Amino acid sequence: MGIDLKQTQLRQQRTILYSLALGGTLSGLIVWSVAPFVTQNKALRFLALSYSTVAGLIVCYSSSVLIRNQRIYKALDSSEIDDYLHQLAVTQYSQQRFWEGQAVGVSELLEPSQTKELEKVSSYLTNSELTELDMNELIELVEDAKADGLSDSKIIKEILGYRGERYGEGKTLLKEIKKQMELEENGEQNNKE
Amino acid sequence: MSKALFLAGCFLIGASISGVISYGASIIPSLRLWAFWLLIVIFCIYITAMICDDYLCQYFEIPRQQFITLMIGSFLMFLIGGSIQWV
Repeated sequence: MGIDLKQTQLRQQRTILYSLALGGTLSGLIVWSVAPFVTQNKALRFLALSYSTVAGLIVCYSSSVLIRNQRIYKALDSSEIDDYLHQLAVTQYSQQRFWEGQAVGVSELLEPSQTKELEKVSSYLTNSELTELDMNELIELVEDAKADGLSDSKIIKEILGYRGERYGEGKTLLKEIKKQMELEENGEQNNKE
Repeated sequence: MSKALFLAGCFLIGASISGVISYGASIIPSLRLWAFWLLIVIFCIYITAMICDDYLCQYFEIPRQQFITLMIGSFLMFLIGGSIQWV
C-alpha cells in the first residue's frame, strides 16, 4: 500500500470522525434540550433521551479515537506543509534554471558591448518584481506601451511597477531598456546591410 | 477540539441518563421513591468524594483543581439533565 493512499485514508478517517463527533454533539444536544418543550408524548420523550445517549456514546468514541491519533494527524499536516514548500522550491529552482539557460543563450548571441549592457539591466532586474521577465519581454512591453502612446512616467509606474521612492530606479531601468532597444535596432540594420 | 468534543459527549451521556431517571420518576409515581433514594445515594457519593479528595487525586493522578472542576461539572450535568425533563 502506497504512503499517499495511507495519507488519503487517514485524512478521510479524520474527516469522518470529526463529522460524527460534531454532528452527534449538535443533534444530541438539540434533541435532548428541545424535546421537553415540544412534546409530551412519553414514547417520543424516551426516544429523544435514548437518541441523545447513543449520540453521546458515538461522540465519546469518535473523539477518543481522534485524541489517540492526534500525533499522526499533526505529522500528516506538517508533511503536507513540507510537501507544498518543497514543491514551491522545486518550481522556483526550475524557473531560475530556465531563465539562466535563456540568459546564457542570449549572451552567446550578443557582442561583448551588448553583453555588458544586458548585465547592467539584469542587475536592476534582480532587485525588482520583474525578475521573471527577460530582456526581450521587457523590450516588447515597452515597445507596446510606446505604440499605445503611454508616457515614460506611466511606463515606469504601470508597466515596470516602480512607484514612489523607487521611481528613480525605474527611470534608470527604462533608460537601459531604451539603450538596449537602440542597440538591437542597430544590430538588425547591420545584419541587413 | 477533540478534548472539547469528548467532554461534550460525556455531558450528553450523563445528562441523558439523569434525564431518563428524572422523566421516568415524573411519569411513573411508583418510581419516585426509588429516584429519591438514588438522589440521596448520589449526594452521599459526592460528599464522600469531596471529603476523600486528597486520596482520589492521588489515585487518579490528577491535580486538585481538575478534580474540583470535574466534581462541579458532573454535579451541574446531573442537575441540568434531571431538572430539564420535569418541564
